[in-house]
Amino acid sequence: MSFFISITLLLMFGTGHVMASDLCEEPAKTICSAPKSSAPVTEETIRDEASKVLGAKGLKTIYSKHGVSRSAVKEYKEYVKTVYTLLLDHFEKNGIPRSAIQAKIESIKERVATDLIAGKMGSSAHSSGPKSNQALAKRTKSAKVSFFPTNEAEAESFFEDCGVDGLTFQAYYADDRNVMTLCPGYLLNVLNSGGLDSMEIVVAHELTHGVDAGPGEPQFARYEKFVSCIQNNYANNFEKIDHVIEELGDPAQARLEKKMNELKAAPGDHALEIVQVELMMKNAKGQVKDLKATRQYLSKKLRRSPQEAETHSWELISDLGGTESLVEHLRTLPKEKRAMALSQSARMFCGDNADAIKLIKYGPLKDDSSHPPREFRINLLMNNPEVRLLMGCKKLEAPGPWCAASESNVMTARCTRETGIELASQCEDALYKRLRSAGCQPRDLSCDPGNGTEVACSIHSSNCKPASRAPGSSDSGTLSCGVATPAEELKVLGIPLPAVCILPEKGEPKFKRPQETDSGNTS
Amino acid sequence: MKLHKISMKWAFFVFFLPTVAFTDSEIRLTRESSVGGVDSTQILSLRCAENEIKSNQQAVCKIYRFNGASTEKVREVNVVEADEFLKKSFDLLSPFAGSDQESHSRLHWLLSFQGKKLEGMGTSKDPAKKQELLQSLMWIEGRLVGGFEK
Ligand SMILES: [Zn+2]
Repeated sequence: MSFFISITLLLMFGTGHVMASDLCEEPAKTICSAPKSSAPVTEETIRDEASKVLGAKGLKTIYSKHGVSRSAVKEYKEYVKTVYTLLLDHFEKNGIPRSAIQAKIESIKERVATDLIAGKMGSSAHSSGPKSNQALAKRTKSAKVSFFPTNEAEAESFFEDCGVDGLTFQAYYADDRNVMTLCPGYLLNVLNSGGLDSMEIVVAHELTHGVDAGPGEPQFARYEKFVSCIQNNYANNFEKIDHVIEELGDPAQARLEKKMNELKAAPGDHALEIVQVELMMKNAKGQVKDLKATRQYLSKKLRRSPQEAETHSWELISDLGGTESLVEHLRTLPKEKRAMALSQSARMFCGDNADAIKLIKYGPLKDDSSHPPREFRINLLMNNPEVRLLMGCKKLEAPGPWCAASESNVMTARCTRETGIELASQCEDALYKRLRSAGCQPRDLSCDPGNGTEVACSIHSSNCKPASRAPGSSDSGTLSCGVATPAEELKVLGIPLPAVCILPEKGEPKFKRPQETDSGNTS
Repeated sequence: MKLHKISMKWAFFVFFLPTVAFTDSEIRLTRESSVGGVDSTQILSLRCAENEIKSNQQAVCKIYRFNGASTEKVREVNVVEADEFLKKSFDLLSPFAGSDQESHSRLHWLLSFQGKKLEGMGTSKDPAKKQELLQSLMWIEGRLVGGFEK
């Protein structure tokens, strides 16, 4: 029996090895091209099994027997529950008991709650009340998870998102009820992606939706710094222009004109849509000569569209929560297991309907309209200083996108020395001293001994208040972070500025780039 | 209910895009993905392309399902059956076309049949109407995925 199980495991999870160095250098490519399960359980298999179990109540008969009716809804509810149970059987066959799934979800909740209490989930403006870190941590821990509908009203909304067989690849969070729904289709994907580590980012992502937008909180208040960082620096990653241009096959001039008139008459700001319709009209008349140039023009025009960046920020905030939780999980794993765990978890960003786009040419949105492009999400994950530290990533040649979650920032340092024996503790000491002298409360310091001559550390700090703060100046005004002293001992990892610390809002950051620190002070 | 969803402004905008002759008749249900990244929208589609039918009298309509990263051709359906199904779907969905486009739903549907096109979202502001619409969509998706057997 155990022989059989191990063979099955090998078949199921016989995914190729993922190298940490590949992840560091080409994250999106490495994560999204990692081989998947060689023997995936298909949707068809699950449907067939459900038909066998349910017989006359199977999918084939529900809707012919009951037509459009409440009875059909009732049987749909039973159907999805059966699908869920069948999936659990498949997990079990692959050595994953249902208790392990539950335990995984609980441990992720715990990590998100711990991150909240530690002040890693943005800056809360409230020290008490429902939006305080403590209260939200409690709420996160008590979040319910729904795998199938339990009554008819629930069945209808469940259908909307999970589909008629429950097998839509979908997970979502409803903050009014504090319920996270994991469609059976999502579990099927977990089963086929090589194990429960693939749940890390998604589950924490969904739970984080309950953190940034709970009742009574102005949207993004907690993540204000992060959102403005995204909006000011990376809004041009979120163009949704290609699909519009690609769909200019049919002039339909009258329709475009009608749309244009509607837009012009409608209240509110429709500048973006107007630009697009203008382009479509021009194209329809054969006036668009160079689509590439037009795209460039438009992407400039659309740059820093607050609407776009805001919508995406909402999701990116949740990705941050996902990343924080993943970091905590990676910390518990031995080094050699981290690359695989990260890759499995981040694969959820890789959804790709390239085939669908080809077949249904005028089909879905290219950018799915709430989530930023996958490369951007993956880069943001992999540029997180703690992730880089845990994965042993080297300095980035070309710094990628990164924005810090909040003022509670992470400072990462790499200490290099010829003799590495006392290195880790020296690095720790130096970081602690540096932060204390800046009036911060350092916490969660972790150092990775590396190869003995180099050690990389990361540390969180909060409540940084400069010792001699001028009256009326902002808290974030004068903290200088980055290069820890003494310079001979510490060398800051080459991560773009916002990664290392939130800097004074105005003025030059008191941060030295590695090339600046290199000059004659390394031993 | 407040779910974390897409900017509907954009999704609707796409609905106004011109239809093309590529698809002669089709019913398509699309769900915006919440977990995935770009392009991980899910689509279920029954499509009958006229050029295929003309060149081959035996041609059939095809049902596809694109689910995140995986693509499945659910099965083929005979043209007469498909036509009957599309007609019934058209009748079911007509009362809901274009209505309540501001309401939030990840599910949208589109139907092209006999030169006419209907489209809308998977929900309605009016609870009774919403129930009726969802039951209709459930029936449609149930037959698409489960089969047309009587
Ligand atoms: Zn989300």
